[in-house]
Amino acid sequence: MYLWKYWRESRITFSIGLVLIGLLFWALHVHHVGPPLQGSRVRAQYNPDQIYMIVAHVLTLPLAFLALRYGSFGVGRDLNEGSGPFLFSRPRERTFFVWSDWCYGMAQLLLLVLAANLVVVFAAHRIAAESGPTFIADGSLSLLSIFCVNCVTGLLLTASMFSLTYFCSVLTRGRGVTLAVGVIVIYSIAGAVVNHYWPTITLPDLMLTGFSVSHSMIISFTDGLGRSIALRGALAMAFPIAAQLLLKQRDVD
Amino acid sequence: MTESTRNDLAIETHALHKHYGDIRAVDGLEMHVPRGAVYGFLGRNGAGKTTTIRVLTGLARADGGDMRVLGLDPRTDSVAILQRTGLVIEKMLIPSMTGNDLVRFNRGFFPRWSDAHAKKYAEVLELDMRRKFKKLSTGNRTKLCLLLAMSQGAELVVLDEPTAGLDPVVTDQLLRVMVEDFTNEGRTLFLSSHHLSEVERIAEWVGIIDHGKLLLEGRLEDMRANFRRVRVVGEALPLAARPEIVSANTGEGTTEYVLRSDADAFTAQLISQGTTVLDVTPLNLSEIFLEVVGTGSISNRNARHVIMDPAAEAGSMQL
Repeated sequence: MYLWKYWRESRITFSIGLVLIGLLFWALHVHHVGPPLQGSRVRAQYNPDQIYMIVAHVLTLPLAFLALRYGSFGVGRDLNEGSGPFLFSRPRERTFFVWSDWCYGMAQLLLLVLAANLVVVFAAHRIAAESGPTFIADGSLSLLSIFCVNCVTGLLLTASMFSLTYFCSVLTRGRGVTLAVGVIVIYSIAGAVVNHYWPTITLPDLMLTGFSVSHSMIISFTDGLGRSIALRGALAMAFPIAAQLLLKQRDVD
Repeated sequence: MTESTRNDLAIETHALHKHYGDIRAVDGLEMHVPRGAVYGFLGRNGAGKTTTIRVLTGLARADGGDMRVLGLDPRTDSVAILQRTGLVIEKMLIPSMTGNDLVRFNRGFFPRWSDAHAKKYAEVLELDMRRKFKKLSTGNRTKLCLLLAMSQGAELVVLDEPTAGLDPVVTDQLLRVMVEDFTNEGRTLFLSSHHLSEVERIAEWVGIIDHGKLLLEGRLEDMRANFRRVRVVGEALPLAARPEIVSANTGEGTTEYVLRSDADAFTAQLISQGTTVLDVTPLNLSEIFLEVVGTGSISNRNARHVIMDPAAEAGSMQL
């Protein structure tokens, strides 16, 4: 029953996500919006792997915005609306509410990330089919491996945004989106400042880049990709754990 | 206190403390609520009623002392307590849900939930279950909160100011429903309020809290039987020295005592000293409350006036 409550809160955002993905599908597949496939310099410069890689990377931004919205649902919303005492007087541990929210939100975000990547990978397939098999051979990575890594990096970004906002919503009792955006902006500015004064130090980018492209246009996984994924995964998990600890300590009013 | 006595108490606190900074919201609370009783928990605004309920139900953490709810400790067994307790505290449910949605939502949490009861209460209380909670009036919100709390088959129902903001007709409906369902089924109703006439109408036991301390606790009928106001004319009268005196006010040649017990012996002693006793009158709950919370001239706020110890009462019932 509790998941049903979360679904009621998030269904409009989930629907918006699906509509956006549908529009992307419509643009890429029905109207063939994108680089011209025949007799173009684009064809000469990029292969479908790279196009997919770039489009999928760009796609994570609107997904990240949806994730911010997702983070405002659940317990934080109830605390904001004054229904916290009602919710927390249901016979369940507070941990149950936090992890139910988080798991269900992540499940929806996973579906959106997968759907968005599938739409783009189909477009890349179409480009490959129309422009000949030689393009695929240009890349050092298969489309499937790029798809998998893009899904993981996209999911990690949305998970980080979602988890951060969720924690902020619990912390501030409902003004989580504002605080989370503030944290992200401050982190970005801090990254630029650090990079300016200490060029050798680089703060980890929130948006994980899974691939690097060599001068000869060969795509490969970035160095230390596994470590970067683990770091961001830990970050995404840290916030719900913090929210859980916070709620355990806090009086509900 | 013996284990059997403890088992006969729905709620029990000992030296319970809850502080917010320098404010002692609950300050050494000693309370005993017998199982199966309708217990009126009375106090002024800010006396500590809501904080006590929050602590007892695990919504707030106690800073010290012991407590038991249905024989369990809220600090470690809050889920088990909440499974057996219906709670109406803020009268704020999930705003976007209708009454039917809230019934559906709530049902999954309580194994003893009764749809039949929910339907009955919706009819009795004339509730439109298809309207969203946020679009309901204050009275209907309260009714819906009560419906949910009473349909979950709870052994103990804790209501914090259930009639606040309600018109007399709705208040009457609610009180009738509560009395019918609780006095007949042997469940415990813990009712916090400062509407004394309502509590007087339904409660068997009363506890009066002020500044976080329980000043008076006992059976309502015992309070009515023992509390007396005595007006006398005379000189060299006793003031605060005697334990049965709750308050003593002197003015215009007369002295007015409020006694919590032994009024007959007290007046007999005064008469034997040559004092003229003008009248001896019983007090209603409202008057008792006003005296106990400190409007009397010598009221002692640190004293706990126990008319009848519920723990002892429960023990004797057990025997």
